[in-house]
Amino acid sequence: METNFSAPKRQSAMGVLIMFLSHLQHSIRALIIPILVLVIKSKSITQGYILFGILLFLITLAIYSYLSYLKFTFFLDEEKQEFIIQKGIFNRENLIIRLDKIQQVNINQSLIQRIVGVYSLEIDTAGSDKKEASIKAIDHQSATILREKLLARTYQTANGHSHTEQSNLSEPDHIGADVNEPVSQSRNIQPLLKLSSSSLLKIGLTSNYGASIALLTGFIFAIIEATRNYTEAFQLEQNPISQLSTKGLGLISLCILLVIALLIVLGTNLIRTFVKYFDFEIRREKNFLSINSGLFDKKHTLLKPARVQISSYSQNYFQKKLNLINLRFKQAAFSTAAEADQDNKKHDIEIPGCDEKERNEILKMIYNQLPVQGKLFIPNYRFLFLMVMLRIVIPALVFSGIATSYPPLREYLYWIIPYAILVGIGLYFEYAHHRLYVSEEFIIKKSGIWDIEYQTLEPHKIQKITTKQYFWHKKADIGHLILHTAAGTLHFKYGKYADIHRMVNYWLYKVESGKKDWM
Amino acid sequence: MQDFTNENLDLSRLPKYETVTLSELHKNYWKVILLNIAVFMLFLGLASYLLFFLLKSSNPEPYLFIGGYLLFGILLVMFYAISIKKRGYAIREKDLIYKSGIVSISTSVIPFSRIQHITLNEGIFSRMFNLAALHIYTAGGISGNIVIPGLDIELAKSIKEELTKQVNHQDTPTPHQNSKEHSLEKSQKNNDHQELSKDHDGN
Repeated sequence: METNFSAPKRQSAMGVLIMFLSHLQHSIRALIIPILVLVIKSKSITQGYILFGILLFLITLAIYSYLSYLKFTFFLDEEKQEFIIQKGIFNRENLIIRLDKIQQVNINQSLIQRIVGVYSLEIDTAGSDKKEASIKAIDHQSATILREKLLARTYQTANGHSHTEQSNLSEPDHIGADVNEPVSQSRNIQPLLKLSSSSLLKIGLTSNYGASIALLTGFIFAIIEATRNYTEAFQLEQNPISQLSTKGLGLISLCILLVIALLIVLGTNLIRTFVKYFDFEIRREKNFLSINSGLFDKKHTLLKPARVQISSYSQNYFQKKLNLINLRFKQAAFSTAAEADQDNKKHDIEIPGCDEKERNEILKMIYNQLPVQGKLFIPNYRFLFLMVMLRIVIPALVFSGIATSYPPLREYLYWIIPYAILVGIGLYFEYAHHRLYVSEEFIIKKSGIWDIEYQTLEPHKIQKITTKQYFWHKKADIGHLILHTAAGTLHFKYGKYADIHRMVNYWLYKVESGKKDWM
Repeated sequence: MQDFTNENLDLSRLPKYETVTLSELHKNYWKVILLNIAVFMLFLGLASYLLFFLLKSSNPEPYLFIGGYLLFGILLVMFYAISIKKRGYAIREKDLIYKSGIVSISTSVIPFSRIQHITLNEGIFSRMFNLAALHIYTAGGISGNIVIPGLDIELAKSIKEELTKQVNHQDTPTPHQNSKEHSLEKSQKNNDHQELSKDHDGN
C-alpha cells in the first residue's frame, strides 16, 4: 500500500471499470431515447446493424476509458502545498488545488464502487472556481491517508500543530478489503451518535413531509399525464382517472384516497430516510467530526468545526414529543459568483435525528461551548400587518374580484373564510416564533411555523451587515436586520431599530477588533 | 495573548455606524443616471410605438399612450432624483458603509477583514464623466456584495488601492490590529483615502 503521494500516481486499476461504467451511464442517459426510437422503428434486418453499432460504441468507450485512466494522475506537492490532478486525453487539464483552500474531503462509495471495492475521494474547495476535484477510484487505505495529508495541512497552517502527530495517527494497519467498515482508525472510539433503525423510523415518520409531498405530486402528475396519453393513443373510452375527475369524488372515496396518499407519503419518507441515513454514525476524530451514512451509496464526510458558518436545529410538534432534533451545519458556499441559495444545500451536513443530550454534545464539539440563548429580542406587532395584507387581504380581494366578473366561481367564494383562518393561524405562529437571542458569543435566531428552527451564528462569521427601514417606520423606530454569512443570510424583521443599531455596533466591534477569521 | 485585556465593555461608547456622516456620490453621477434613463426611455418609446401599431385594430387612444409614457418618464426621473440624495458612503478605519434606498432605506457595512476582492467598473456613460463604480465582494455571495457607483475615477482607484492594502495587511495579523481604538469619521470626502494611507504607514 503506497502512502507516498509526492510522485504522480494513477487511480486503482479498478478505475478503468468505474470510468467505463460512468461514461456508459452518461451516454445511455443522453442517448436512450434516440436509440429506442431507432430500434423500434427499424426493421429486423437493420437491427443487426444497430447491434453492431452499439458493440462498436462500447469498444470505443472501453478504449476511451482505458486511455483516460492512463492519463489521470494526481500528486501532492508538499513544497508548494498544492494538490495537483492531471487529466484529459487530448487536452491535458491541470487542476491545481491549494491545500489551504480545501474545505472538506469526502470519501464516498456508490453501489458500483462498493461491488468493485474502491472508493471515491471528493475535494471540496473554497476557491472562487466551482470546479470540484474528485478521484473516482482509490482504495480505502490510500484514500484515508491522502485525506489525512490534505486536511492535516489545512489544520497545520490554521493552528500551528505539528504535522508528525497527524501522520502518526494514520498507521497503515487496516487493509482496504474491509469494504463495509469505512472508518478504520477510529474504530475503537465510541461514536458520538449512532442512529438505530427505530430512530430512523421515527425520523421517517416525522420529518421532511414537504420534500416527500413534492416528490409524490410530481409522480402523480407524471402518472396522470402518462395514462392520459396512453388512453388517447389507444382510444380507450373510459379512463378511470379522467372519469373520476369528471364525475367528481364521493366523500368516502375522497377519504380513502387521502388515507392512501398519506400512507404513500409516509412510505416514501421512510424509504428515503433509510436509504440516505442507514448506519448513520458520528465520531470524533481529533478535531474533526467524522460522519458516515448510506444504505447503497456510502458517504463519509469529515467536518471541520471552524468551517461551520451557521448551525441550525429544528423540531416540530411530533418530534418534540419524541425528543428528536434535526441538526444541520451550513458550510461556506464560497464563490463570489452567482450561486443561488439552493446550491448551498449541497454543502450542508445534516444530522437527521438526535436527542437533546447528543445535540449539546455535538454543538459543544463545534463551538467549544454550548451556545447560550442571550438577551431576547421580539419583533413589533406590525410584523403581522404587512403579512396579513399580502397573504390574506390581497389574495381575498383578487379572488372576489375575479369571482364577480366570472360567475361560475361565485359558489366557491366562501372558501375565503377557511383560507383566511388557516393562513391567519400560520401567520400568528410565524410571528410568535420569530425571535432573536443575542449573547456575547452567539446570535440565535428562532423561526418557523410548524418546524421550529434555531439558527446559531457566531459574530465573527458575519461577512456583511445590512439594516433596513421603511420610511414610514421611522417614527415607530422599527427596522430590519440582515446578517450575511458565507452560508446564507439571517433575517430579523420588525425589531426595535435602536436595539438593532446597538447590536450591529457591537458585532462590528467584535469582527473588527478580534483576530478570529471566518474560516 | 500577552496583550489580552478583558475590561468591561460599554456598549454605548462603541463607535456608532448609524451616525457616521456619509460622503455623497459625485455630482456628475446624476448626469450619468439621466443619460441611462434617456436610453431606457428611447427603447420604451420604440416598444410602445410598435405596440400602438399592433393594437391599431382596436382603436387605442393615442393621448393615453403618450400621457402614460410621459408620466412614467417623469416618475422615473423623480424617483432617481430622490434616490441619489439618499445614497452615500463612508470609509471608516476598519469598515466600509453604503446607504441607499427610497422606500426602504438600507445601510450595509462590510468590515475590511471580510473583503475578498475589489473591482472597478466603468460604464460607457460613466467614462464620459470620469466616473467609476466600486464593487466590493465578500464570501457572502451575491447578497454579500456592495456596489458604490458614481465615484470619481481617481478617487475610486485610490480607495481600491488602499482597501486592497488593508485586506492584504489583515491576512498577516499584527498586535496592532487587535487594538480597540476604533476612531472614525475623521474626515470624509476626497481625503479619506489619505487618512487611510496615513494609518497604514503607522503600522
